[in-house]
Formats: sequence, C-alpha cells, structure tokens
Amino acid sequence: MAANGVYFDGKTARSHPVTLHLEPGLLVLTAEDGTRLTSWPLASIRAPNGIGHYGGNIDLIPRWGAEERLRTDDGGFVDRLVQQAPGLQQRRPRDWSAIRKAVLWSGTAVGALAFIIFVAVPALAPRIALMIPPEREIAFGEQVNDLLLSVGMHDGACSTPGGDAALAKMTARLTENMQLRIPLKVTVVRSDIMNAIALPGGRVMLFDPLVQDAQSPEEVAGVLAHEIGHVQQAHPTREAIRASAASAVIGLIFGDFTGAGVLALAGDRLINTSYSREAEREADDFAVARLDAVDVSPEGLAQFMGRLGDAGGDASLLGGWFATHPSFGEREADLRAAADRSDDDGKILNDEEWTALRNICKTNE
Amino acid sequence: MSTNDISGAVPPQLPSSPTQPPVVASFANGRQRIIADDLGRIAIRGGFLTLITLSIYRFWMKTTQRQLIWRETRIGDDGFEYTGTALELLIGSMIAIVFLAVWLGVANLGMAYLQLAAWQDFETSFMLAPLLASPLIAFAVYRARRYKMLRTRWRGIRCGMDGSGVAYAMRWLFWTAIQLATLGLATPWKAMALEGYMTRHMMYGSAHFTYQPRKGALWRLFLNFLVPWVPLAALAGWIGWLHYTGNEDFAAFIDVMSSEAAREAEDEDRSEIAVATQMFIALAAVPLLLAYPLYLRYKAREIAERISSRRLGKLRFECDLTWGATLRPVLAWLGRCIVMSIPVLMLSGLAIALGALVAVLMSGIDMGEIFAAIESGPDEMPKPENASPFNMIPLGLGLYASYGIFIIFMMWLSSVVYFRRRHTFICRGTVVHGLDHIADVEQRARAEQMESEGFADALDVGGI
Repeated sequence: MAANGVYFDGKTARSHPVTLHLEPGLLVLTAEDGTRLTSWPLASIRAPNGIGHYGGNIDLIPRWGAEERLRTDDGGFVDRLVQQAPGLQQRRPRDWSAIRKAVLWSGTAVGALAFIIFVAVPALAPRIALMIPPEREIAFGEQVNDLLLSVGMHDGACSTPGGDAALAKMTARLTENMQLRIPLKVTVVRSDIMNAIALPGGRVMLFDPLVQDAQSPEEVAGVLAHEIGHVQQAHPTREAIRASAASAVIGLIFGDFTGAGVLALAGDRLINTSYSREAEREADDFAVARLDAVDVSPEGLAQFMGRLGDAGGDASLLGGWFATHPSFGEREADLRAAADRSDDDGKILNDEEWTALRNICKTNE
Repeated sequence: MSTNDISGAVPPQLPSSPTQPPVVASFANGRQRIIADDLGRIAIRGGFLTLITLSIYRFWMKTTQRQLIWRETRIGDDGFEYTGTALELLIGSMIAIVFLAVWLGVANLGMAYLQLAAWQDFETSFMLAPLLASPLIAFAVYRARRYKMLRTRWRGIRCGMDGSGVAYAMRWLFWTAIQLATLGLATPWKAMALEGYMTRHMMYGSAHFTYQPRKGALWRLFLNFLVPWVPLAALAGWIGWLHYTGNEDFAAFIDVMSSEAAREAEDEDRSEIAVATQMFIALAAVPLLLAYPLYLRYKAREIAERISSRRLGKLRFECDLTWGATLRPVLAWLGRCIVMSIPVLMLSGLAIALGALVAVLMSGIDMGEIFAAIESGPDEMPKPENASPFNMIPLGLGLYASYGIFIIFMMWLSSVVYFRRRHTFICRGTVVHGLDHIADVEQRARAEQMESEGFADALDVGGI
C-alpha cells in the first residue's frame, strides 16, 4: 500500500520523487532506485496546511521547525496516515517568547502614541505658536477667515461710521495701557449664529446675533475681553499647530483603517476638549483682570453666560464630556464671584454709541 | 536511520539539454473558483474580526491570505510556502509605530512652523507634507519585499534578501528627482533601476539573483510610456494655449475655481460661466480618462520586463503580459463596485438607521414628536428626557458598523476581485527556463531575529 510523493531534503533544491510506505511508528521514504532515503517518526509528523484540501496536494513535515518537506497528492494514503499519526493535524505550538515580545512592543507603541499626542505635541505647540512672526500669523488668519467665508459661517464684516466708532472705542478702552502681542482687528460680522471667535493674527469677530442678544454694552465688552485674552495667549494659532501635528500622528493609525483610529480620534477630541477648556478659563481670567483694570464690572459677562446657560446651551446629548468649553453655568458662577468682589461700575459706551453698535449690520438706516 | 540520511542516495542528475521545455508558473491552477471562495471567506471573516478587534486581527488575516496565495502560486508542480507569522507582523508594526509616532509628531510640528512662518500659502505646503514622508514609504516598500523573501520557501529552500532600506530609499530619491525633472519621462528607467536594486539583493538559498534587462527593454518601455503621456501633454498644451491667447471662457473658469471671484460673480448672471466651466471640465476629462487605461498598458509591459530581467544562475524567467493583465482586473473591480454599490449602501445605511433608532429610544423621546417636528420645523424638535452621553453609544456603534460594512466590501474587492485576477494573469504569463540548473542550490544558514515589514504595514504599502 505505497503512495507516490515528492521529497525535498532541505539541503538543496533538488526534488526527489519517492514512494511512501508505513512501518510501525515510521513513515518511510524510498527513492525511485529503491534506496531508503529517510524515515520520519509518525508521532512528530505534521501537516501544516491541513489535509484533504482542494483535492490537491498535501504538505507534510517531519516535525515543527524542520527543513525537510514532503508532498503527496494521494489523499487515501494520508487518510491511513492520520489513523496512525494522531498528531498530524495539531496546530503549531504557541511561541510564548514572541507573544511576550508582542505584548511588550504593543504597550510601548501605545505609550509612545499617547505621549506624542497627549504630552509632547500639546507642550510644544504653544512655544511654536509664539515663534511665528506677527505678519505671518496675520496672513494665516486671513486664510482661515477666507475658509470661514467659503463655508458660509459668516457673511463678512458689517460697517457703519457710528458702529465702527463704537467698536473702536470699546476695543481701545479694553486694551488701555496694555502691551498687545499682535495688532487687533475687531469686527462685527453678519451671520445667523450666536458666537464670538478669535482667529490667528489678532482677528476677533463678534457675530451680529450675539450683539443683538446682549442686554448691555458691558456684556459685549466682557465677551470681547475674553476673545482678546485668546489673542494675547495665541490660542487659535497654537490649537491649529497642535491639531495639524496630532492629526498626522492619528493618520498613521488610521492608515490601518479600523477601530484603533476611531479610538485615537476620540482621544484627540478629549485632549482638544481639555486643552480648550484650559484656554477658555485662561481667557475668562484674562477678561476679568482686564475689565477690572479698565473699571468695568465682570457682571455683564456673568449675566451673558447665565443667559446662555438658561437658553439650554449646556443641554447637549453629548453631555459635558466632549464639550470644548466649560459649562456656562460653571463659568457664570466663577464670573459672578469675580463680579461680587469687584467694585467697578464704569460704563463702556453711552446709549447713542450702544445703539450704533447694535445697528452696525442694519443696512439703509 | 532517522532523518536527513540521504548520503549516496542522490538520484543520477538529469542531463540538462537546451531542449528541456520551459516550466509554466500558475496560480490556483484549475481551482480558480475554490480559491476565490477561500479568499472571499478570509476577506469577509477577517474583515469582521479586524473591525471588532480594533484592527489587531489584520495581521492574522494577512498571514492566512499569504499562506493561501503562496501555496497556490506554483512553478511547475512546486508551490511556494509562506512561513511568516502574525505575531511577527504585529511586532514589526508596533516597532514602526513607535518610530513613526515620534518622527511624525516632531516633523509635523516643524512643518506647521515652516508653513506658518516661512511659506506664504499654507495650503500648498500641506501638499508638501506627504512628499516629505515619501522616502519613508520607499524604505517601507523595500522592507516589505525583504520580509516576504525571508519568509518564503520553495522546494524547502529558504529565500532571502540582503541590501538596505536606506540605500534603496536613496536610490528612490535620486530617481524621483530625475523623474520630476523630466516630467515623468524617466519613469521606465526609475522602475527598472529600483527593481534592479531589489532583485540583485534577492536570494534563493545561498544563490543571489542577478538582473539582466532584455536588450532594448528600456527603450521599448519608454515608447510604451509615451502613449499615455501624449493625451496628457495635449491637455497641458491646450490649457497653456488657452491661457496664452487669453481665452475668455478659460479665464472665467479660473475665476470660478478661485472662490473669491465665485462669490463676487454670485449676484451677476452666472449661467455663461457655469456652461463654460462644465464644458472645460468635460473636455479636460477626456485625455485623463484616456491616459489611465493606456498607463495600465504600459504597466503590464513594465511588470513583464521586470520579471523577465531576473536570473538565478542559468535559470531565467520570461514574462509576457498583455494589456488585459492589468486592465481586466481594474474593469472587474469597477464592475463589481457599480453592481454591488446599491446593496452595500443600503446595508450601510440600515446600520446607521438602527443605531439612531436605538439612541432615540434610549433618550426617551417620543417618536411621534420627532415626526411632528420634522413637519413643523427644527425649532419644535423635542428635548431628550434622559440626556446622558451613553445614549450616543448605539449611534456610534451604528456608524462604526456602517463603516465596517464598507471596509469589508473594499477588502473583498481588493483581494478577490482585483488581486486574484491580476496575480493569475501575471503567473500565467510567466515561464521559467532552465529549472534543472538550480537543483544543486544549497540551503542558506538560518537568519533568526529578522524585523518584519512593520513600516510597510504602518504606512499601508505592504499589500498582499
């Protein structure tokens, strides 16, 4: 009951046509001229690719790690071989040293990624942001503004002589006796969104609905002081730098196209969140200090936060977890405390100027 | 007598006559359907496991794929054997991530600084970033080839590769500079030179491959490469001519393309500009659509020349590929994409819808109120009774599942539809002359502890 096969001795590339037969405990390989080439103990014979595949060839090795190879297409013979060599279809034994090494390196990789995304990049970004020459930062801010225009976030700056004068007065008052990091360019923009933003390069934009919603010029002044705080600390630029470097590292994981990238993105969102919460607090602190310095009470900013909180600004399905700003309620409480300590009650605009500012986006009036 | 005892038992050597018939290579010979099904099972099952293990399983999937592909790739009767393991791939990838994370983090901070401080236009410099990473990709391509060679056996003899990834990346940089300087015309020279470096460092047992391009191969390739270049050059010439002659429609097109002017044009009558733009895009698409299949034709020739240039002692390969070898896999891919896109999109949408439904139910909003709000406007949208971040989990899972369905579809397309066809054509087009000359090639000493192709995996150039 012999079978035909092809034997490779693992020493040269020569193929040896052989006949196979079973002896007690042994598989014997005999060359065409009748020479007994070798014999394999049945106990250690393995079929690394399984048996009975595709009605094609079956590969056999004398034991794991061996160099020799044997191939036969005689399925019937292999079926008999299985009876006597029960270990034939056993899987390769686990390589514990490789597993240990894999665990070690996986941990190192996760640690390195976390360190770069969460520690190194956020620590270096502010330093780099402050190294950018002002004129470059201004050019960058223009490009960001073009982007905002092209996505329709706002429809451009509003301007009336009275409104411009009121805005200039407010800005001048808030920056009295103060060393500006970069020249400010404050505008009210036409939009449907209630918002105020600071762009790189000293651009501050108050969205018209925010001005309309404010009950007093001091509320607007509070928001403006807060945005000037962002500009002074170069927050917008440092966030742009941090995000671009972090996204490149995250892109590396995303190259692997699946879950790990999603996790990393969520992680980045979290770091972005805590990063900008910290920035918001810094800007709030700056605003309180500035308002105090120019004798305007932080009461206005506190009221404004309170109203935003009541209007449901905090109620989000995402909850506070992923919010980039501290909750309005929290900030209102902090600001209210600052207002109670403050004895300032200076007015920042007279009624006429306040009306002009509120009408800055109303055309034909 | 235990093992390896074959002294004096070597059969008499066959007389190697010049008339010995060449041996044909094959893939899944006669079992195309079965192998396609196996590859499909690996892609779908492996894709699913890859998604639920946050991409860790992909190393096991790739290993299973390779074992099957190697085994079914044959020269004559003898199939290849892939001996790599998933853990090796995993370790290699993790090592690469450590280096790349540090490198990319630092390089991108530097890039961000340069973008903002040195270059006026930060959008163009964003495009430069991938260019800076590209020598690394060349390095990874070399490493991937080396790992695959080191983990390949044929007739029990291990293949191997020496040389260095850095040396290869240097050559790649050199040739890329020449390629850019010649507007791409040096592409065939680059392809052959880089393959030459790889091949000369490839080994079978203790024997090195040599690289001997056929006579006139480079100029034949160059002429083939000119064919797709012609429509592109014509397009470039046309655009240059329009610009030079101050064509009004073209100027309008450029205006529309730059957003600033588009906004200004908003209030004016834009219909003429729109028509001109559409016509320009339609006309420009023709040479582009023409150039790609012609490039595939060149690519088939290039692959054939690269394989035909390989020698192993007196053994030589001869490869002849028709246009179909590269074109038909792409057409099959496109066809499946079109036919399957609707069911895949439906399934994918269903996953999101299910996730959203569960999220809404969990947040305690009455469905009736939502439908009412849809009719009466967004201001009426009901507020959730139970606002907790956990409500978002089902929606997140739905989105992930929908993404997963799409990814598994792409995996199936690339392995079963595209790769299998292309590999089959290439194998079928290849014959080996003088196979009996390598019977005495000896096994090389085992090289332990070889880094795997981690960089290739991390940079996604490993392929199959």
